[in-house]
Amino acid sequence: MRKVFVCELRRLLLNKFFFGILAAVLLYGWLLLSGEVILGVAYTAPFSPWSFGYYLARLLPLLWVGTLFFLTFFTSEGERRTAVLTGATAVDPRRFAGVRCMALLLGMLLLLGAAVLLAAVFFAYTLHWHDWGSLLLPLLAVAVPPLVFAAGSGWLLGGACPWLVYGWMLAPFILSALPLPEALGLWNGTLLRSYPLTLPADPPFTLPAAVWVAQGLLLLAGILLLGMRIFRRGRL
Amino acid sequence: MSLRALFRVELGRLLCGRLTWLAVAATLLGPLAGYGLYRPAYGDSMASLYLANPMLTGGLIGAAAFALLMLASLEKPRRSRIAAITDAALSPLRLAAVRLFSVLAMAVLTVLATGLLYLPYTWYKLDIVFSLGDYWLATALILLSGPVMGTLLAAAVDQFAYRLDISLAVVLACIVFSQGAWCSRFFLAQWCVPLVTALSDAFGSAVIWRTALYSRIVWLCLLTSLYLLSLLGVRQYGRGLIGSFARHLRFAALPLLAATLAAGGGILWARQPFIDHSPSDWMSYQPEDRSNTALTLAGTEIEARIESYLLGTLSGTASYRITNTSGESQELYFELDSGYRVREVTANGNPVEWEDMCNDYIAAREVRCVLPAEEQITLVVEYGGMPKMWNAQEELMSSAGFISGKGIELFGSHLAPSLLLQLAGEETPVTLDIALRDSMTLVSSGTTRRGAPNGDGTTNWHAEDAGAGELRIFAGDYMCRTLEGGGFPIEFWYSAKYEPRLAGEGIDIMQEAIDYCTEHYGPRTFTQDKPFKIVQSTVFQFGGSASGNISQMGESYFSDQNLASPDKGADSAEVLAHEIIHQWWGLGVSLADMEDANWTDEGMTTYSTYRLMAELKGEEYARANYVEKWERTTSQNAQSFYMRHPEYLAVLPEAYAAEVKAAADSVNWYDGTALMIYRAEQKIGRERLDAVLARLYTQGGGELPPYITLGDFLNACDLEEGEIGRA
Repeated sequence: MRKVFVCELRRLLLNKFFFGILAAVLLYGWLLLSGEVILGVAYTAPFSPWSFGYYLARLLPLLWVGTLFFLTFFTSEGERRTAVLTGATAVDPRRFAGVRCMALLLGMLLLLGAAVLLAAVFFAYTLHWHDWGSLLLPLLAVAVPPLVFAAGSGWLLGGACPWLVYGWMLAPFILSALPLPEALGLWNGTLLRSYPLTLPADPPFTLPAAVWVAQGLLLLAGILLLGMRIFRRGRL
Repeated sequence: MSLRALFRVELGRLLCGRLTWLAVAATLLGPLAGYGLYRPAYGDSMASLYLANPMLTGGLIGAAAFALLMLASLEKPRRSRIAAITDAALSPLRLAAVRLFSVLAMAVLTVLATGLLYLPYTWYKLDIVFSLGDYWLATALILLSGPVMGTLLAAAVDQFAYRLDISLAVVLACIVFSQGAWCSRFFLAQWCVPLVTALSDAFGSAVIWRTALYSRIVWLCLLTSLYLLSLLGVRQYGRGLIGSFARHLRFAALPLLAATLAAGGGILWARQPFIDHSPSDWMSYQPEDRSNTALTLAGTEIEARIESYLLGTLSGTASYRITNTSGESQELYFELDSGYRVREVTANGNPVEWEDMCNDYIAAREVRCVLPAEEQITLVVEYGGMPKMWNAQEELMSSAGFISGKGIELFGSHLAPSLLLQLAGEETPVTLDIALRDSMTLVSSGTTRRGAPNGDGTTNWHAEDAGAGELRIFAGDYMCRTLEGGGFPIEFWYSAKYEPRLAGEGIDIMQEAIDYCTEHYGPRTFTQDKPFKIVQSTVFQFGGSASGNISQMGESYFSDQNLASPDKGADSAEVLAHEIIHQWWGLGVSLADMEDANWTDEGMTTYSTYRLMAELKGEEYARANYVEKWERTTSQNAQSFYMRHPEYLAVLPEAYAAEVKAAADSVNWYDGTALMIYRAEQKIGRERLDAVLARLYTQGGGELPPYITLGDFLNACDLEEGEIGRA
């Protein structure tokens, strides 16, 4: 299955869409870092978990789109036709779907990793700051749950109709324009701008319980949906 | 197949490609980035913000998108390995040319669609200052330029390199380079989109349109020349670049045309008529003192004609009455705009030899002539041309003198030769007669009289001034409101386009501001004969300035964007009051302190605006909209990371540090200083503070005359700095 994994990963990464989205993520990330994050969010340092979380929250729509673009390789009409052939092979459908899921998550992590690397280089260059371990918590709290949910929900929708994946790409853009409750405030970054102001100066990274619950539910839902795709129908 | 049939087939093929629609979509969406993400124009007029920036950004994105489309179009036959087959049926040179024209046609159609798409929003945002002509000029000269230039460059590079990756890298590098700091200093260095620093809302942007058109012609010549040369390198019969080049040289017309276009572009580049040739180290350059004390100027009469509003050219005859007390012939130098040429010089009716010194310095150059030994001399100088821009201000496109169909600003050597001799007295008269379009109104530093219409769409105007001979004129669709303040009239001249913004309480509040400042600080000292004139001027002057009885107020002071600025006032009328108060604090007297860079006119003006509003709208309103806002912003500024940890500001790269400092400075200039003065008011009482300010306004500062320093203010209030320190 290693060969299948490498082949699937190559399909996802070695194409113009990946490089286009990567370029867009890096460009927008640079604009965010040099335009907004450099000033620091909510009077915190530019390299504080709050500012970094805000940066990730603002990048989230692009990362979401990138993840769903990866999915289009598995849910397109062409792929559905090929599924007849791959279904006739001796490969275990669940393992095949699992390998695809791994490739999808790795591609997603590479995009996220590029954004994180950009921020790390930016902080090192502009502020000579290197304590990157402190950024792990906002990374896990802000970016990972929605992206896993994007993968799971996108796969479900794409399985039903390939074009739904493209419509689902608009979801974070719409959410970022809406006045969201505090529990969903990480989707557009508003919580990361307002919540630290209620805490003492330079607060450590904490979030209200409702936000932890919402993010946890998102992550759980994403994992469950991915699991459903792997174990219920196998391919596609 | 005929070229037309080939073109139809190629265009049809393009329309079926996904990449084509991606390029179209990118160009259509590109201007959106200009509203916030990328703002290359410096100007803050509405047209700069909502027309120039979106068009420039759209042009740049369109350049990259259509360059990619062109490269993909040229790459496709190579990748699919059908080039050998198509070459057998058709000349590869013809095919290459058809592919170029197809992509160019798509670019034109896309730009047209983009223009139509953004028209309603731009119209809505620009509102009273929208000009359909300017909109389509911006579309044609700025937005269209990007895709056309990008396509041409991409085609040329690819036909040399025959590699998509290398060609794309070269084109993208060229686009990035053109937006870099070096290219931004020269309008001709901008190959992709023209240099647009601002667009005027009310007085036309002729300087931008002329330079943009000129630079587009230059680059079209150069890139077309490069493209024609690259056509010779189109591979045929399996030969490489040199082999194909050698074979195609038999089409002699191609290299000849390429050479002609390259030479034409080069000549146009070298002989551009817009920028002067002042020395680059102008600050250390010491011009010689050429003033001739044996000659005395008794009076000047100028007759000027606008030769072409389109080209911005003027011609004139200046007549000077000079007294020569030496009894000998005298050498006389006069300064003239670098863009003007002397046509004839006569003294008492006799021709006089003159010599152009070709020593450009700040958009002017000197001309030398020798006057006869006669005592009374009438010197007549005929001159003409287009005013030039000082090269140090090329990156701002800010011209000291300009002429267009919507606005004219001329003074000093940009209006007529300035003689380097002594004046008979402070009242030495200078008169000007000029015919202007019927739609234009002349405003001058002295008195102005409208003459009879000439019947050819022009009207004669007569202006008179006295003094240093520095007659300054403005022309445009000006309207005048006379404001009373301190017993002397104040004429406020503004473009008719802004009438709707001034029709409400705007004028009333300006009047109140003048009354308040006159009553509390003292009058601006002007006479009935030479009234104080506040004149709205073009955005290309980047802010306001004062000279003699003229005080210029940048047009963007009245833009919807500025009128909504919360730093200057709670609403647009209060921002207008703020700008009027600047006539006292800023142009009347100025605040500066070597030890406190935040002690500026802005803070004093903001405080005065607060006091005015307290009188007009009540203490509660003023406190809520001014004092509480100052306290909030200064507190936020004090809490900001870099204020608490300045050590990180020290390690930040210069560009970022400047940005952070600019944000903090803005708070300190306006709100921080205003809050300090407010605290002083709380300490010493309002009446005593008013007396202090009146004294400082009328007497000026003592520590750094004529500026009023923070020390002057504190001494006058009997306060220590710590008592009213910033938050």
